[in-house]
Amino acid sequence: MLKSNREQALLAGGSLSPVQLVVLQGTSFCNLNCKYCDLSDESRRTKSAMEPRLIERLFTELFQSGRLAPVVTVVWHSGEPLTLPPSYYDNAIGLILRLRDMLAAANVSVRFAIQTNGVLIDDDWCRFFKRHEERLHVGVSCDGPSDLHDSYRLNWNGRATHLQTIRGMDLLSRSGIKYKIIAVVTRKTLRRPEAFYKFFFERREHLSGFHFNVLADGRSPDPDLAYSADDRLAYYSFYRRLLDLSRETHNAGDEFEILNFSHGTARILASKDAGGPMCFDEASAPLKSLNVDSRGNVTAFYAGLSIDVLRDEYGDGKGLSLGNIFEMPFEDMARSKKLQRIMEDFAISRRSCEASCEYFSVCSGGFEISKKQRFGTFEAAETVECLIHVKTLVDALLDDISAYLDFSVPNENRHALNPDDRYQP
Amino acid sequence: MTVQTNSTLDKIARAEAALKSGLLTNYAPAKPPTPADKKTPSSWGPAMRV
Repeated sequence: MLKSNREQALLAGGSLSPVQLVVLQGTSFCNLNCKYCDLSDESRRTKSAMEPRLIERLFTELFQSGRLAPVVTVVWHSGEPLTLPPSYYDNAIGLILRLRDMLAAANVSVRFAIQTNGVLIDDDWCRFFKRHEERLHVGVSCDGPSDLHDSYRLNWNGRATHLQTIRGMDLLSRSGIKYKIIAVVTRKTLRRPEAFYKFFFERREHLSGFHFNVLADGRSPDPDLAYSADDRLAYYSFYRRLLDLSRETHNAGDEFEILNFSHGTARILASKDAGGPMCFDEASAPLKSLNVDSRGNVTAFYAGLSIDVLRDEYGDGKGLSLGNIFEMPFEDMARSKKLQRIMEDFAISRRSCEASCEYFSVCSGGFEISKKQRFGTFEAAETVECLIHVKTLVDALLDDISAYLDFSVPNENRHALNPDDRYQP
Repeated sequence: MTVQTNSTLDKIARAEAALKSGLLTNYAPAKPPTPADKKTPSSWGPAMRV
């Protein structure tokens, strides 16, 4: 007898993943008011700092739990980390490493990262980054040339921030500190792929990585921040143009890696590994990513998940929060009925994708909440977000790979190309 | 711009075979993933992405 979707999902709920990433909201306060920020105005205007006793409690429990992966990355994000002083992070890093040495020295290696808008980077911060450079990575949020960046990345007075961000990036470069760029792509970016690419390409020697993000939610009253299924061709053309530019760079004897494409090829390679988990299962596996906000609320599944999302979904007004570390031991969270319920809902979502989506094997998931928000159910498959983020990017990558194989590999694997073919989703 | 109209699954299978057989060693836009790269990055939720 066929099982219901919920029963099947329960069976496929899977086990808890080792914790690989811990996102700490050192402060919710931000010195900027980016137009596309998902955090509330109130939280970004509230000066706060995650208390050392919260960090101590959290990491004591994590190190004692036996649930950590061999390598764990702790990243400060969500709010502007540099609004707290370097000494705050000196102390936090020291505390976490001392706890690791006491409780899990032989088993766990810890790395750190800070994601900043770059505006407050000065010589003190550069000295801090140098002090910790063996174990701490810096990420800078910059959207490219000034007209793209300054359309949305403004301060609270509505003033542009590009110059300040560039000044911070230049200070890092002069101090010999490499940094990873995260750039948000909007409709305006789609119109200027060459300028977008060139801006970061010219800084490639100073970068440890480059990754672009399409906005997580396609709904916005600002037409340049919104996207729909009708925009698929525009995004496809943008992705293909970036791929072309990468190839032109390579042919000119240079290299500039765009991590979105490298991760895409990694997912293709991992897509059908016998015996291994599908990358979809792995990417949003329960507990793989933990988020702890400045008050101690813990969420899982996605990195960066706020408790404000789906606040009333599980009846406690706390969204997908598993609890507060001051009120509930981490191990109780890991064994909680609420976590089990979320896992069941996410498994339903996953099975809906698996049953209907050609891209399932190369998708890293992450759209469960989008489904619930858009359709009122986890039992849905495609969202506009997954269409633009995943399907269209995979289409562009696969078509580019096919074209490369057709033109570059002189063997019997060549496929004839029809030059009249056009992208027809 | 030239694209193919094979099914997505066909294209995934072809790309996967090419990756595994080393035909994409010189494919410029992406470094060929090593076995260590097979683990995918975390999914980032609706609040923000990195």
